[in-house]
Amino acid sequence: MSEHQKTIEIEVLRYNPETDKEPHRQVFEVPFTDDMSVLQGVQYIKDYLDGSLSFRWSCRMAICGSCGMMINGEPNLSCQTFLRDYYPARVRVEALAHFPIERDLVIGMEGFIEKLESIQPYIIPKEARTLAQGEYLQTPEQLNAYEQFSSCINCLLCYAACPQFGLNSSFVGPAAIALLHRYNVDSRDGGKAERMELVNAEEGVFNCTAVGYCSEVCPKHVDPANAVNQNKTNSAMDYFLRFLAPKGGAK
Amino acid sequence: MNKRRPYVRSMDGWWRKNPYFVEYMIHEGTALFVAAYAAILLTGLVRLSQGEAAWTAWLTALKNPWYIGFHLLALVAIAYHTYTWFKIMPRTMPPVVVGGQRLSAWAITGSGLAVAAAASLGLLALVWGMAR
Amino acid sequence: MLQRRHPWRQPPGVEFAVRAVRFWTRRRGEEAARFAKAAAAGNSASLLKQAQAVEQRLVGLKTKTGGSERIATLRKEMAQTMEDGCGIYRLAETMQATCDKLDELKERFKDVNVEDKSSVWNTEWLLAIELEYQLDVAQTMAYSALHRRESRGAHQRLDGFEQRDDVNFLKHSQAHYVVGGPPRIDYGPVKITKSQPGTRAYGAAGEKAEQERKASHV
Repeated sequence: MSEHQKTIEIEVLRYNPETDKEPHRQVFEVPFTDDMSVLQGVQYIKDYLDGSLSFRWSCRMAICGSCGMMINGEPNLSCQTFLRDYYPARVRVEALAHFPIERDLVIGMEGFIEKLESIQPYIIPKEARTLAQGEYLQTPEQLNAYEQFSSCINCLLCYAACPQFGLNSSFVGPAAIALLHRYNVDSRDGGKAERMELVNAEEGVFNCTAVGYCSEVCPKHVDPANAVNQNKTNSAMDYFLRFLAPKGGAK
Repeated sequence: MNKRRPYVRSMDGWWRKNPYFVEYMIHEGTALFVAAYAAILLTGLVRLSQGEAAWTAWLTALKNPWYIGFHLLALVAIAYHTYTWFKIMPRTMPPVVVGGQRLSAWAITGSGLAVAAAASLGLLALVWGMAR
Repeated sequence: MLQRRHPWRQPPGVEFAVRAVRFWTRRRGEEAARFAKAAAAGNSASLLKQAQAVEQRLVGLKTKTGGSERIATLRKEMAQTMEDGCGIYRLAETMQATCDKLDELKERFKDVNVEDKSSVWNTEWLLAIELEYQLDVAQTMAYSALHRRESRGAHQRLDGFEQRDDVNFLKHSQAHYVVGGPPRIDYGPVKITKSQPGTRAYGAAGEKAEQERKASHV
C-alpha cells in the first residue's frame, strides 16, 4: 500500500460457531478506489487481511442473488453497492437480518428452501398435453400477468426487509409468495386451488401488515408486497366464494 | 459431531433500526387518531339523540382550547395517515390496465390523494355553507 | 466459486430449454442405470483406498501449518499469466512463459497457507482446493495450446502458424495427469458428423463465402 493510497474502514459482524458465543464486530482497513463494490471490499479482506472471513458470492453483477448483506443496516446486494457512496465514513456490513447466522456473513437458508418447495414453484398443467400436441401458447397479455413476478433471484433481501418474518419465521414471506403468485396467474397453470391452501393458512399472506419495505429493497423490481397483498384479496374471495360454490375454493 | 450453531439475533427494538420502519410505525400510530376522531363523531351522534341540551353541551365542550388543540393535532396525523395510505396503495392492489398500459404507482397514489383532497374540500364547503 | 443454482426460476423463454434438459438428463440417467446394472462389480476396497487418499490430501491442506503463500496471490498470478500467454492471439514464446509460470505456481502451491482451521463454512479451505484444480486446468490449457502449431477458432497464432492445419491438428488435444510434473499432451481422433471445419469469414469475404455456399446448395 503506497502512502497516497486512500483507505476505507469496513466493519464486519463476525461469528464463528465453533469459537464465538455471539457475533462481534471487527474493523478492517481496506484500500479504496471509487470503482469498488462492497463485495470487492470484503473480498479484499478475505484475500489479504483475514482468510477466515466467510460470505456467499458468485456472479458480481446482480444476477445470481448470492451476495445479499445488511450494509449500514439496509439489505442490499453487496455487488451493486459501492464503497464510494459511503467514503470516507466507515461502512458497516452484517449478515442479512431476520435469518440465523451460520458463520460471519453467511445465513442459514434451509427455512427458505422449504418454503420454496412448499409453494410448488412449477407449472401444474391445467390439462395434460402430449409432445405431439406441441407447446402451450400464450398471448403477450398473459405473459405480462406474471412476468414481473418471475424475475425473482432468491436473494432474500425482501425477507431481511420484512419485520413480520423477523418476528415470526414461519411466515411464508415475500419472495416465496411472489413466486406462488407467478404460477397462480400463469394461464398454463391449474394448480391455484392447491396453492391457495398455503395462502390462506396460518403462515400465509395475513402475516403481512403492508410495511412495503420488501418491494423497496428488491433489486429486480418484483414488487413482492404486491403479490402478497393481491393474495389477501384472493384469499378473502376464496373464503366467501366457498359459501356460494361448495365445490369451489380451498378446503 | 455437528459443529453448526446458527445464531438467531434478537428482534428487540426492531422498528428503531431502520428509518423505513420508523415511518411505518408512525403511519400505524396515526391510525389511532383516525379511530379517536371516529369516536368523537359517534359521541356527537349519541348526544344528538339525547336531545337539544345534551347536543349543545357537547358543542360547547368542543370549543375548549384543549379540544381545538387536539383537533389540529388530529388533522395533521390524519393528513399524514392519508398520505402514507395512498402511498402504499399501488402495492396492495391488482394491476390497473388503462389502454393496454399498466397504470404507474404514482398515478394511483396521485389520484387517491386528489380524491381525498377533493372530498375534504367538498365537505368543508358543505359544512361552511350550512354554518352560514 | 460458491455456485447457487436456481432450479425453481424459469424465465418464460428458458422453460422449454429446461424441460429439454430434464428430458435428456433423464435419458442419460436411464442409460447410466442400465450400464451400472450390466457392469461387473468394482473393487470396492481399492475405491475406498483412493477416496481416503483424496480426503487425506484435502484435509492436509487445512491442517498443515507454517505455509507462506497466500491463496489470492497465487490465484492472481495464475490469472495474469493465462491472460498474458493464452489470450486470443498467441505466440510460442509467451505460451512457453505461461507454462513455466504455471509450473512455478504449482510448486509454490505446496507452500500454500490456509489460515482458517474451522469446520463450519470454511470458504478459505474451499478456495485452496479450487485453486489446486484450477492450476491443473490452466496447465492443460496452456500446454495444449503450446503444442497446437496451427490456428483454429479462438486459438489464433501469430508466429508462423496463422492457418488451420487439418492434416496435423484436426484432433482433440488430450492432457494426461502426470504426478509431480506438467501434463503429457497427446491426441485423439475427431469424429465429424454435420459441421465440417471451415473458415469463418466476415465482411466482404463473409458475404462471398455465403454466396458460394448458397450456390453450391442449389
